[in-house]
Amino acid sequence: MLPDSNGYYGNFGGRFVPEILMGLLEELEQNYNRIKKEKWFKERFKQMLADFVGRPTPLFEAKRLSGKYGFRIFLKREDLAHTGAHKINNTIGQAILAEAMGKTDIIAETGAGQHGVATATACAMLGLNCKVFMGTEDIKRQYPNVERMKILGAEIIPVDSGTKTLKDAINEAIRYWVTHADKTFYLIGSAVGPHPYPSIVRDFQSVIGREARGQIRSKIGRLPDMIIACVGGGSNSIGIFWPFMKENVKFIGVEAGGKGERIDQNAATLTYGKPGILHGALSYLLYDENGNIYPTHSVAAGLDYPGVGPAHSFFKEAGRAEYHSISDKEAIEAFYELSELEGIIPAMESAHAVAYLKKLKGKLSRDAAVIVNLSGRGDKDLGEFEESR
Amino acid sequence: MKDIVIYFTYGLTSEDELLELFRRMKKIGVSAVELGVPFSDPVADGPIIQEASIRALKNGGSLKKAIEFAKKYKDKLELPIYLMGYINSFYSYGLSGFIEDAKAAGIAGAIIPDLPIEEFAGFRKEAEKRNFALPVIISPLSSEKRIKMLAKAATGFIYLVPRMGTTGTHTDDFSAAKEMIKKINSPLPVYVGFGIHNAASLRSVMRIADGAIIGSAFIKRYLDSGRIDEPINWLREVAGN
Ligand SMILES: Cc1ncc(COP(=O)(O)O)c(C=O)c1O
Repeated sequence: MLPDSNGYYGNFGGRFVPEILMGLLEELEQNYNRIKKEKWFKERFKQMLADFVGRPTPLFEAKRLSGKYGFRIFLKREDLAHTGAHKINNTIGQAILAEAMGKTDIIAETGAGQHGVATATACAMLGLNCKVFMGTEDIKRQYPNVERMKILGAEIIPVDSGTKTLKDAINEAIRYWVTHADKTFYLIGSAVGPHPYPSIVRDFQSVIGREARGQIRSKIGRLPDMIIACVGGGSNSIGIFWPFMKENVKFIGVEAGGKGERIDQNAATLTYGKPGILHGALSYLLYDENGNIYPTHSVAAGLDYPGVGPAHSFFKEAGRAEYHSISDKEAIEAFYELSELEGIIPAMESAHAVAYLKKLKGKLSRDAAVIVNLSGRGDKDLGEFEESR
Repeated sequence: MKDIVIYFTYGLTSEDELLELFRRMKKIGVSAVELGVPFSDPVADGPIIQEASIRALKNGGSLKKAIEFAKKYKDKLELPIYLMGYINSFYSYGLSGFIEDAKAAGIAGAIIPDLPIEEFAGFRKEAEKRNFALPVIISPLSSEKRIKMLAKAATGFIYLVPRMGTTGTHTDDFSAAKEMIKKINSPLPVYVGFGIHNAASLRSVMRIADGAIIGSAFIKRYLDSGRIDEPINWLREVAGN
C-alpha cells in the first residue's frame, strides 16, 4: 500500500516535524481516514466539485498543436476549474475536512497565488478565517492573485526572509502553525509536507485522473500512451497520474529548468537534487554539502521550490515516471504557442508541461495519444515575464 | 544546584571567542552548552536565532566545523556539548558517521527538534548503543501517551517546552510546565527551555525543573553588541552569581 502505515512511499515521506505538531498530525490522520470513507463527506465533496468548481473539466483535443507535433494531443482543462487552476480541488476537500474537525482558522502558503486564491475561495464559501503566507518576491510577480485573495477576505502575510518565495512562505506558515497549533488548520497546497498531507492532497487531486480516464476512453476507445504534467510540489501531476498508476501509461513530470543547470538557477529537484529532509518529509531536495537548502529560480512562481512530494521521489527511483526539465525560455515559447495555436493562455507552470511536447516531435507515431495536464490559466502571468522573453 | 544550559550558535563568533565564551560560562556556573548548528531554514526558530543562523552561515558555520571545533579543543572545553540543529544537517552529514565523529570529538549528544522518535529508529538505536545522548522534546500539546513514550525514549535529559511557538518568545507563566513535569516519569533531569528572558522567568523555572535552557535572550545580547561580554554579564546578573 502506498504510502505505508508510517507515511512512506518506498524510502520517501514520513513525518519530520517538531513534537508540538505530532499529536495534531496523528489527529488529522485519524480524522481523515475516518471521514474520507463517510458517505456525507464523499457526497459533499463531489457535489461541491460539480456545482462550485464546475467539474468535470473538459478533455480537449488540441488539433492544431497535434498537427504541428505529429501525434494526438489532449489537454485536461484544469484551467477551466473555478479560480483558474487545479488547486481548488484540494482546497475544497481540505476545507470540508477542517470544518468537520471543528477547525475554523485556516492558514496556507502560496507561490503563484493559485493555492492562496483557492484557499481564500473555499474559506469564503464555508465561512472560515483565512491567512495566506506569500513571499514578497511572489507578491510582486503574481500581483493579480494578491488582489483576488484580498477581495475574497483573506489576510495576506508577506514573507520577506530568505529567497522571498514559496519555500520561505512555507517556513513562515510552519512558524505560525507551531505558535497557534491548537487552533489552526494548515491547508497545504501541494502533495508535500509531513504524512498524511501528501496523501490527502493526492486523494483530492485524483479527481483529475479519474475524469481523464473516462474522457479519453470515450474519445479514443482506449487509455493514453503518455501523460505529461508539470511538477512543483507535485499535486497536479500526482492527481492525474495516480488513477493510471497500474496501467501501461507513461508518466512524464516536467520540472522548472529555469535559466540553466547551475545551482540556484533552476528548481528541478528530481533532476539535480538528492534525498533530504525539508518541511516535514524525506524526499528529493536541492541542498549543499552542509545540508543547507539552495535558493531556486523559475519564471513560474508555482514551480519555484527546492523540494518535491515523496510520491514523485518514489516514482523516480522505482522508474514509474520520468522527470525532465524545461527552461524558462522554452516555457515562455510554449506559453505563446498554446495561446496562438489553440486559443488557450496557460499558466506559466502549465506551459512547462506543454513545452515538453516539442521534445517528443518525431518520436511518437501519428496515432499516439498524449494527455497534457493543463493545470491552470495564465491570467496571473500577463506581463510578468516580458523581461525574460 | 540546578543546571543552566546555554544555547549558542556555532559560527556566530570566531573559534577563539567561542573558547573564551565556554571558559566564562563555566566560571559563572553554566553546566552544559547546546551548540547550535546553523541551517538555512530554521522553522522552529524565532527571529533572533534565525538571524544568528544567517550570520553563522555567512561566516561558514556548519555541522562539520562544529564537530571539528569540539575535537580540536576537546581538552580545553570544560563543558559538555550537545549539538542542536535540524535533521537535514545531520542527514546530509551521514547519520552513522555523525555519531562516530561526534563521539570522537567528545560531544555528549544531539537535540534535533524535527526528528521525532518515530523516525530513523536505527539512528536512535545506534546512538543508544554508543552512549550518545538524544534528548527528546516534550511540548504542551504532547498527550499523556506521548509523554510516556518520549520519556522512555529519551537519553541525556528531557527538554520541556512550556509553550507553543518558536524560540525566543518570552514566557512568564510556567504553571502549565509545572503540571507537565508531574506527568514525566523519568530518572533523567528535566530542563525547561524556550522563553526564559530575565531573572524572574529563570527563577520560576528553577523552582519547578532540574534546570533551565537559555537561548534567544543570551544570543540577542551578542547579536546586538557583537561582543561576548554582553551576554556573559547579562547571564551573571540574571543567574545571580
Ligand atoms: C497552475 C499551477 N500549476 C502547477 C503548480 C505547481 O504545483 P503542483 O506541482 O503542486 O501541481 C501551481 C502552483 O502554484 C500552479 O499554480
